[in-house]
Amino acid sequence: MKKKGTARLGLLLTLLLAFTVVLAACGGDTNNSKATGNNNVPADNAGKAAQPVEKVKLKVATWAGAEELREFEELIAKVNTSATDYEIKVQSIPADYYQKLQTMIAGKQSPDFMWLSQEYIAQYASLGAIAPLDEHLSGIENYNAEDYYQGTVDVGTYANKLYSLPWISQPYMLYYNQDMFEKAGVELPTNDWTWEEFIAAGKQLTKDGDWGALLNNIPTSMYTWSYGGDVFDKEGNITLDSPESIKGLEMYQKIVNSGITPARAQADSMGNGDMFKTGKVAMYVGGASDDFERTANFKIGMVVPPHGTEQVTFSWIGVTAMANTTANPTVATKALVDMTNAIHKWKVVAPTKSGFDEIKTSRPDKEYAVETIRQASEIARGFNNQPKQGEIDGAIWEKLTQAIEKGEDVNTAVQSTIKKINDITK
Amino acid sequence: MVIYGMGSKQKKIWRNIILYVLLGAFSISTLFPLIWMISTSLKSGDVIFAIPPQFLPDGFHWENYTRAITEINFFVLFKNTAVITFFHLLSNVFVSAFVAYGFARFNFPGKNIWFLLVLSTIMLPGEVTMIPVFIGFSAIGWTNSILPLVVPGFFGGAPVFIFLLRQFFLSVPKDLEESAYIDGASSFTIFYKIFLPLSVPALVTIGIFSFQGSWNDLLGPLIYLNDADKFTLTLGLSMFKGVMKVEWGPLMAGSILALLPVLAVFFMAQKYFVEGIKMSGIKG
Repeated sequence: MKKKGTARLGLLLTLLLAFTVVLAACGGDTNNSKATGNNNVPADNAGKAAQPVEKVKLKVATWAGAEELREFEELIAKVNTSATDYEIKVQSIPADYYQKLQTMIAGKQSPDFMWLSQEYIAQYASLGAIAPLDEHLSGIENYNAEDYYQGTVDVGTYANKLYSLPWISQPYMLYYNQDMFEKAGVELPTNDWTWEEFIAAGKQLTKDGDWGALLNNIPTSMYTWSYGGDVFDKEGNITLDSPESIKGLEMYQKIVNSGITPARAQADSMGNGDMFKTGKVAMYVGGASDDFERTANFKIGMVVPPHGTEQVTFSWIGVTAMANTTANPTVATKALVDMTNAIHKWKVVAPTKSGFDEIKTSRPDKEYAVETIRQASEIARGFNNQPKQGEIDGAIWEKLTQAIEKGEDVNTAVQSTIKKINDITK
Repeated sequence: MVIYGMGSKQKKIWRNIILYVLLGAFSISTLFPLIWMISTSLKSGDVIFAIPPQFLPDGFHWENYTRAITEINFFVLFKNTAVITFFHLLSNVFVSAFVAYGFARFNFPGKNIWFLLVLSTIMLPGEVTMIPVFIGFSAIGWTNSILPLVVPGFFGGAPVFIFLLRQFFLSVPKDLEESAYIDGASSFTIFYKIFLPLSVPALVTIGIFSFQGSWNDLLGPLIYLNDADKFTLTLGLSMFKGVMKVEWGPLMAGSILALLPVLAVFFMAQKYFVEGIKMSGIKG
């Protein structure tokens, strides 16, 4: 019996060994991926150095989903066809995008390019995860710096160096329900509306259970910009307590106190966009490419958001940054420019002046508002992002936005926010 | 009001009616998300978020299923998930049992300390070890393969299962193995001829938990797999959840297709599952 048992143990060990061999075979291409993802130097089977004629292998990480991913892969395939010195491969990260990206960077497996939302640029740049592009961009013919809207370039700049190329910029617009305006006999909004005019119209439209406006999408900093203030200046100094910033925040509180907007919790539970879509609110601030024209069954208009002393709007900006570990930054930057130019012809709204004509063909429902969106793009901007922007955003939400909405004193809320920001950045 | 003046038979009938109504209401509330999921998988994009909500689909939009299968390469991802789950399950069940047997039946220096050490790893959240472990696997070139997802299990199983099985094995009478030793059986023979057959309900329970955990795991495959043709179903389904837009129809259709094997396994092993929980509950 003992002998038989030993034989079976032997059989089990043999099976385990065979299994390990099978698994090792399953993971057989890891060396190749390491070569393309990390070193970017293609190696042949014998491990010899790459021939100079071979294309530089590059990887771009994207959060794009199923249909969007397929379109992006087709776009990259076209870019690859016309490229002579590089070949880009798409790496899909369909969930927990930044967690995966940061793990890959920590493991020195960073993709050569990565899509980033604007608030991550300063953080990644300060950690040395992404590379400055200025030096490599200077010799590239099809890179037209002048074509980009300044706001979209500013968010990609950290410590006076450009770290990313924007591929989308969604300026926030003021959508309005024309039917509700006409029914209430209120004059339609215009592109040069002030916040006071906005509040006055909102009051006339707030009746019978309907609301004048819903502004939850607007970041609190945008009110400070509206009067020439900001949370940080371009050098990273806190300017939240400047008279201009305070004036903007007081205007925010005035809007909240005017009673023209539903409570944030109510709007969140009903779905912000849905409240506008279903005719529960007359005015709504949302991205320029939101699909209200397709989904709402009333006449829609769109204008630039109201202003204080300055006309400005927030823009959601997506960029592509280049990893600091890419093996051939010169070729990689060229590939980045080609890829970004191609995306501008695909994504609406492009961050370039020349990209506007694309809206008419890819989004005919937005054709009526092309000039308005163009006007908004010219004044659109993002945050003066800091390396700990995520935590700072949390502090602003907790100490500033909520305090203002609760009716607390603006100056006190500002001081409390600054204290918290200082704790984060020290 | 109704109970007064009624015979015991009538009381029983009323009690049963109330009981069944309550149970029925709870069953419907539990099943509602599943029914909603099935209904959504057949709806067109316009109807999914119609206000007021529309419970029944506007016709049978089978294209959601077609999209779920074609757009994420469903069958390839299904195969990948099945392979990972198979090895994961194998390691969790058998290696855990092997280790648990050691802790339950052998005396060796520092046994309790080692056991505590194993238990302490249960308390350690995966997120804490994720980056160092990734760096380790990256250094040996195992990333973008299924190796980091299946091989570690073969070097110790899963601590929770080791704990559960150790408690289970402790309850097996010593007389059984002593008589086997007298008959000349080796420790290994006793393990697979006495302990494993006696522990089938516990092993099946662990198998189901392990299967479910691996089949639905998102973070592990997300971190270690880079190429779309190596993805698992959970990753594939995530593709329908874009930053700007969620494709609810195909997402629900794909989720139902991915759920079927889990349901099948559960119903096939339901008897053992309930028994296993009951037994391990009593014994543990």
